[in-house]
Amino acid sequence: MFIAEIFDPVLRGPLFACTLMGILSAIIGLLVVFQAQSLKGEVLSHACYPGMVVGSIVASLLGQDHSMFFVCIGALATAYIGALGIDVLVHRWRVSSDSALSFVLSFSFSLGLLLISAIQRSYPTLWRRLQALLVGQAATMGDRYVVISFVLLCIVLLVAVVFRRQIIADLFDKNFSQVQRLSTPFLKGVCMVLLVITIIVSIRSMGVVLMSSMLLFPAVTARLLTDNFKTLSGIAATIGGGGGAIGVLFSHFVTFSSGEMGGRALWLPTGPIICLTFSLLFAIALLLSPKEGLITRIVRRIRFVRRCFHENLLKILWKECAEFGKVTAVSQDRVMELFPVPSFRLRRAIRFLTRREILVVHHDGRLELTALGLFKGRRLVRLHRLWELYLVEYCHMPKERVHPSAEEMEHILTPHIERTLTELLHNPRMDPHDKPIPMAEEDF
Amino acid sequence: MTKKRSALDVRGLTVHYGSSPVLWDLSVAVPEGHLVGLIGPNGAGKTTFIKAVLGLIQGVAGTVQLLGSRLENMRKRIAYVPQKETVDWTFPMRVRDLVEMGCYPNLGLFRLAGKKTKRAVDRALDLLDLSSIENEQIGHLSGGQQQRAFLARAVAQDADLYFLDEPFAGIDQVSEQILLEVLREMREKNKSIFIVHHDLISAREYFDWAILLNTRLIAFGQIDQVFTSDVLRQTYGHKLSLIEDLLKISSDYSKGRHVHSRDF
Repeated sequence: MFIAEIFDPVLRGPLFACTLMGILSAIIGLLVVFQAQSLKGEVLSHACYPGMVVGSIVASLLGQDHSMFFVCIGALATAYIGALGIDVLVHRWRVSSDSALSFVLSFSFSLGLLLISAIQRSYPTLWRRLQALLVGQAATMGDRYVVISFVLLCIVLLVAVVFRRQIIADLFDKNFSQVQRLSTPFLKGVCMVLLVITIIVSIRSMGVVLMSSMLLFPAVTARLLTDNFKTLSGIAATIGGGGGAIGVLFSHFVTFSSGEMGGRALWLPTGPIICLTFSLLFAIALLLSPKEGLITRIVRRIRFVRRCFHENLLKILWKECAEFGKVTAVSQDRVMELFPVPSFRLRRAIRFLTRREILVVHHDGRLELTALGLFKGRRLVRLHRLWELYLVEYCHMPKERVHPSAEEMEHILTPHIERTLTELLHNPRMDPHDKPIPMAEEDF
Repeated sequence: MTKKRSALDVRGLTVHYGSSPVLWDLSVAVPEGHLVGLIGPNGAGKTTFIKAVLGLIQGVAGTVQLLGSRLENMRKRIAYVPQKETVDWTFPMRVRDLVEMGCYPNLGLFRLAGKKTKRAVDRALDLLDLSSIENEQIGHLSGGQQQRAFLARAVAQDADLYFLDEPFAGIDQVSEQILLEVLREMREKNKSIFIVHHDLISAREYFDWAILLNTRLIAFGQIDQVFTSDVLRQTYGHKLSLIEDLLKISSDYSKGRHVHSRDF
């Protein structure tokens, strides 16, 4: 039933068109985001508007009401003038770039608004259609838009694949790509035209005001999830397409089901829903980003605390078993005595360390370290005592105060720092409290 | 004795920003196979000189020849390392990808990066001691490592002429030594290397040739002949240390930093 509904003419057009436009905008959006010109997309979409208005008027005067051709020409022209205006303002008149962007944005938008208000009386149908472009009207898109966005997507993908090296080099290091002739004015022009055409096509679904969210959100979200440009492009395209599809489906089904319930129908416009879907995906990425995500960091913190706990247990076992060498296994009561923690935490830690083959539990409940456990325990004690010695010898701290610092450092000292310390202290044998420092693994 | 070709031959180069000249009637000819320092105080036009030579800035007058030929024919044999600050290091790219970028000019549009590319990249990474961090995102690197990665890209390119803009600015000693070693090795292979540099004291140790400029050309030639106190006075003004100190203080004031009172 669901499948049938997807291919229903009412839903088919908006769903596939918005999905394709999402993918398309996400890919083109990479150009905008990684040129550090995120505002430019917003400005261009507003700068297109007066051109689209003029183009539509010309088209309807010529009796070709639905021709995209004049709309595109008009939009390209005003977008070009807008981009040129920014350039002149910034480079010729030394206006700061964000002021120039805001100026061009508001100027061209008000120009467009004036133009449509002028035709409100004389061409009411055209006026309504142009009015709809302001916030978009995805629900009324027909199959024509599916074809248009599909063809455009194919062209964009072709350019992106063929010129991938040139584009990436130019985005990252303009000077380099210019000296090596990787980027040419021709390629830049092609990219610019594709960007503007993408904006024009997507404005039909998202509207002038929200268009730039479709360009920016996918790339910005994907950036949180990966450091690799190719993977990033893939993720951005998925987010773009997925966001577009989810937005259309959500607004369609909510609108319809609430309509069936009778009374006042709830009408959810598609553009804002798509934009909110992107925002939601962005928020999820913020929480789950593998590098700096909020939840990722909490998980990482919890793991670190747990590791410290395990290592402290390991240290005690090693001291009991290996250092004094009296016993091979320690009873859990003895461990509780030396390491007073709630028994459930101890049981959990033992289970964990057994799984990792760091210790084995005897039938009578005594604990014995495996070879791996002995190795890890020895290293911990070594790091602890090395650090104590360093603090006393090099930082001249009194030896009764160095223990707390070493309790922390033993968990985080890297092999590299260990080697440096060993060299600095001339491969010492005794710590400041006259306890032996276990040998490093290579000497052992 | 065979007569060496000129690596760089500049005649009457003049560059303006707006109405004020940045470079004025500059003519130099540098033979192949040298490590050449481009030296001068801040705002002397060192970066502008390189950019004009590489066609990134249009000069109002003058001609430039590289290895006896026009720039257009030589692009593939030129490697350019811009100032580190000119790129966005948060760009989603690994060290390896950055170095591989050096091979892009030779790969063209359709060729896939094959074994030859991989070998060149491996070699460059190895030479600059970056192999262990080849999969790091470039933003995670220290300043010195970033500069090394930048040079590794140029090494992977296997060019004949190298132009480096302030590669020694703000890097650690280990990186500095690695850079110097690699650059000297390149010179042994008869590559010509031009380096923008502003520190006089280290310049004598780094380079065997120097071009001293301060809008105009002050002197050029072998480092010992160029580094006379007379020439330095022309480049940097009167008393070297005093001028440098004053420049520092003036920039501190203009940036609103706390200025330490010092003994002069």
